[in-house]
Amino acid sequence: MENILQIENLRVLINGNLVLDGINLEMKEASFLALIGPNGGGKTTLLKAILGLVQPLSGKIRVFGLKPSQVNKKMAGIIGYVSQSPLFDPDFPVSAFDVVLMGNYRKIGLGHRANKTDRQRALESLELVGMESLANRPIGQMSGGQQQRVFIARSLITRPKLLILDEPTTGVDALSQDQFYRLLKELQTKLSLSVILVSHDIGLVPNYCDQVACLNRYLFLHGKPTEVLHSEALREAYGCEVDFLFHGKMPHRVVDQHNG
Amino acid sequence: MGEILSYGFMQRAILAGVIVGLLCSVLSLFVVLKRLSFIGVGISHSAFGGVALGFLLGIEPTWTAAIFCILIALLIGLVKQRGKIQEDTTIGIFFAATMAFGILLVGLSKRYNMDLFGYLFGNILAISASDVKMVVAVSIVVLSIIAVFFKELLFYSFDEAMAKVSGIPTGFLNYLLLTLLALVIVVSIKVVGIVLVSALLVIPGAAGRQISSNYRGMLAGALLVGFLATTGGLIISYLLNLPSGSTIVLLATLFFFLSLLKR
Repeated sequence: MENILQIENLRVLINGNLVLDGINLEMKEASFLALIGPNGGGKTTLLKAILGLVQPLSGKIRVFGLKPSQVNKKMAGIIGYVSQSPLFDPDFPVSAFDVVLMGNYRKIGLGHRANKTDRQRALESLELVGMESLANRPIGQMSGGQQQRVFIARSLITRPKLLILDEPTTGVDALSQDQFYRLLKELQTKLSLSVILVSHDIGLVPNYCDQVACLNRYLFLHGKPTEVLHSEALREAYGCEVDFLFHGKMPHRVVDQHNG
Repeated sequence: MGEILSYGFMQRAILAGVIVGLLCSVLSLFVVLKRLSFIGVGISHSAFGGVALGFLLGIEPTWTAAIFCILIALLIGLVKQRGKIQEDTTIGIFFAATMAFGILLVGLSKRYNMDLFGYLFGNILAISASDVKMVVAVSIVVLSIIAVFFKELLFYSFDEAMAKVSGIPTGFLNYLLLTLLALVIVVSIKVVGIVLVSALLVIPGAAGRQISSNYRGMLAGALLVGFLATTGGLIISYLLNLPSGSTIVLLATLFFFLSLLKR
């Protein structure tokens, strides 16, 4: 199977700081990669490099065999992106349906209005995340978890093959987080999506993904979840001990977040 | 009542006033959603420098004001894009500097010009037939551009980063919106004046937002407030012999307070 993502020797400089160095990463089709690491470790920068929003200093990135700058032109909509930013304006006057439709604006084109097919697609996307019954609710009147589902629906409207999520559960309560990851896993299987998930949630995420990568300027490892959790590399990447509290089957992180 | 419309100046005033009111209301949607109200204040006050320059050089002040406003709008956009200095800091500087420049020019011209007050506070009596034509022309251009880019501007206002990722030309929209703002401000100056025009770019949108939790309802509410405030304000100012610009703005403010009762 061909790699959907191929990164070789990537180095990225931001404001004179080498944020990413010597990154090598491969992703196969329909795989689920979790990207963890301390704040400022370069997780978001790596995503931006993959999306073509940041120019690398050196190295090679190929997404679906193309340079990131080409992907948006030749294969628009093949990457879905869900950012970590919560609502810029919690009272913005749009409904969940309007938000999902926005994901398709580029395809609808300048000066055109959404037609019946576009609307149908938006509804289908909302159904995929179980939010169709709240389609007309103003986005600001939804819970954090519901909002994130709507943002996933927005990223799904172009029928992407790769879904990139940057700390999607920021501001979402613990129970909803668990449901959120389960939904993500479900969508991944159902739509044969490839998923890159950036998360701080090293306790929960490994239960859902195929691979975990630890990033702190260098990409520390790239293996199966069970290996990572008990690995020295995790400690190295975070720069301190990471403890887990086990109750039931779910390990939970008990140390505070800290800057790396 | 009927006599109001029998005067040519009043016909022109109401025609220009209503168009400007509606035009400002459409733009106020984005001013409120993208939080550009302080930019509106900055651009409109920079018109003063342009107007004064026009007076000094003997050129039609509307043209010099237009050039000034667009230049300042693009400069603000550039600083916003670069992101190194805070936007409100830049506006605070430009706003004062262009006003100071205008006052300096007025001082140099050594004559006390009543017309200048018309530009500062609006002078509905001074609206000529060619002014009305300009208001109509600018309205057609601005509204056509907004019609083409409406949904893109909405996405840009909602989530700039995501809009950029999904291929919306956000850099271009930044400059476009500021240029439209500058154009609308320039044609609105004769009706409400430099000092008060920014109010028309905020209040209708703010009231519309109180009325509806969807942008379509918000736009409808803004248009209604803009229409009622300009026509009502002009009629009241005529009947009670009050300054037209401030009557319009105060009436719009009254509608805003009424809209607060909705929530």
